[in-house]
Order: sequence, then structure tokens, then C-alpha cells
Amino acid sequence: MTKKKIFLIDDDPILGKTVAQMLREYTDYEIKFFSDIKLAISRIKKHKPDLVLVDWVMPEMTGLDVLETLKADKDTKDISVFIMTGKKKGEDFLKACSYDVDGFITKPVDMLYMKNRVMNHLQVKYNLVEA
Amino acid sequence: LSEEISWLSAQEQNLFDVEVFNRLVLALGTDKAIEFAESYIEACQQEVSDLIKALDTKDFAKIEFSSHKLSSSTGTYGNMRLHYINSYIEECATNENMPPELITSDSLKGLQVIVDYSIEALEKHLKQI
Repeated sequence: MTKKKIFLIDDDPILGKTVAQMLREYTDYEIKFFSDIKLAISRIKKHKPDLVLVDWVMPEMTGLDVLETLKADKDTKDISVFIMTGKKKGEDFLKACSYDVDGFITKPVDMLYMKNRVMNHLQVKYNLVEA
Repeated sequence: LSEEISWLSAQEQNLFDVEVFNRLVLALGTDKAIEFAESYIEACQQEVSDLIKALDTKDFAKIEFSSHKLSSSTGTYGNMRLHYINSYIEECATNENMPPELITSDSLKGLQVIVDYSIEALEKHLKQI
């Protein structure tokens, strides 16, 4: 059985590497980290990961832009996208929901919550697909 | 402004919360946690320098961006007072409503002192583990 793939996008390389390493320690998924957003999008289109975790606030494109780009493309629209955010305003979350976001992870990241959230999401997603 | 975060409530937070850092050690293992923490310290000091420059020139976009980055990383590595201060600054910048007392030269020096003490507390802990 092939390993599930998670791509993580964060413009902060230290924080991104920290979260990527935590996910490697806690799961048996293949984790790829990108701090270059455009490179990440091209790799997502090529490799079709099972889930993308993307930071909300980034300089070139926001997490919302990435979400919108992926959900608007027929080849990537089924990829699950979670946004990592420290934002607390309801309107921000509603905006992301309007783009069919699959989930949110609050920053600073609570690793146990993230692991459970990601694993549960992928289990439900693939059980539904197989059923 | 959010009721959850205020300048005063931020000042009540620990400079360094060992429990937060221990969770990181648990998740990463000691060696990786130390390696990443050392990189964090370097990046944090640079980002704070950028933030102070942005605060000094009232560049709201840069303030929002820098404080957002700092808010996440400081919270991850246990520098909780900095985490709350940056969350507060980010919110002020988002609303373009920066309290004038926050950007006086004394306040900016004070912010640098908090950063120095926070980093010192983390470094001290790294030497002990």
C-alpha cells in the first residue's frame, strides 16, 4: 500500500520544518515541506498529495489564494486542503468555507490535535471513497 | 480589538513556558527540538529587528506580516509573552489601529528587552536538557 502524502506550505522555513518533522514523528505519511509557494503548487499538480496543509498569511499568495487555486482546478479540486492559522475572526473562516476548505489547524500548532485531525479526515475521506 | 488579547494580559505571560517546550521535545525528540530551537532563536532575532523597524515607520503591512510570523513561532517554542505581544500587535496592525504608546522609542526598546530575556530563558533551558 502506498504511503499517503501530505504537502505542507509555510513561508517560515523553521516553523514549517518543525511542523513537518512533528508529522513525520507522529504519522507514517510521506511529508514534503515547501516554503516556496509557486513551487509547491506545481508539485501539488504533479504529485497530487492526499492533503495539503497551508499557512494562511504568506507574502506572495495567501493560504486562501492557494485554496482557491487548487479547488478551481479539476485536477486538484479533490485534494483536501487544511489552512493553518492564528486568525480568530469568524468572517475569515467563513471566507475559507466559501472556497470549500476541508479544515483548519490553529497556530501555534498543537501536534496531537493536528495528528488526530489529519488522520481522522483522511480515514473518513478514503472510507467514503471506497464505500 | 479582541477581548482575548490585550497588552496587559500579554505582560502576565511567562517569558518562557517549559511545558510548551516539553511538548515540542516530546513531539520531535530532544536532538531535533534543540536543533530547531537554535534556528528559531536566530530567525526570531532577525524578525524582531524587522518588526521594530516596521513599528518605527508605522508600516502596517510589514508590522502585520512580521508579528504574525513571530506570533506562531514564539508560541511554538514556548516564548509565551512574545507570543501574546505579537498576537496583540498583529491585531492592532490588521485594524490599522496601533496605540501610540506602543510605538514610542521607549516601548520599542522595551520590546527588545523582552525579546532578549525571552531568548535568554530559552537558551538557558537548552543548556540544561
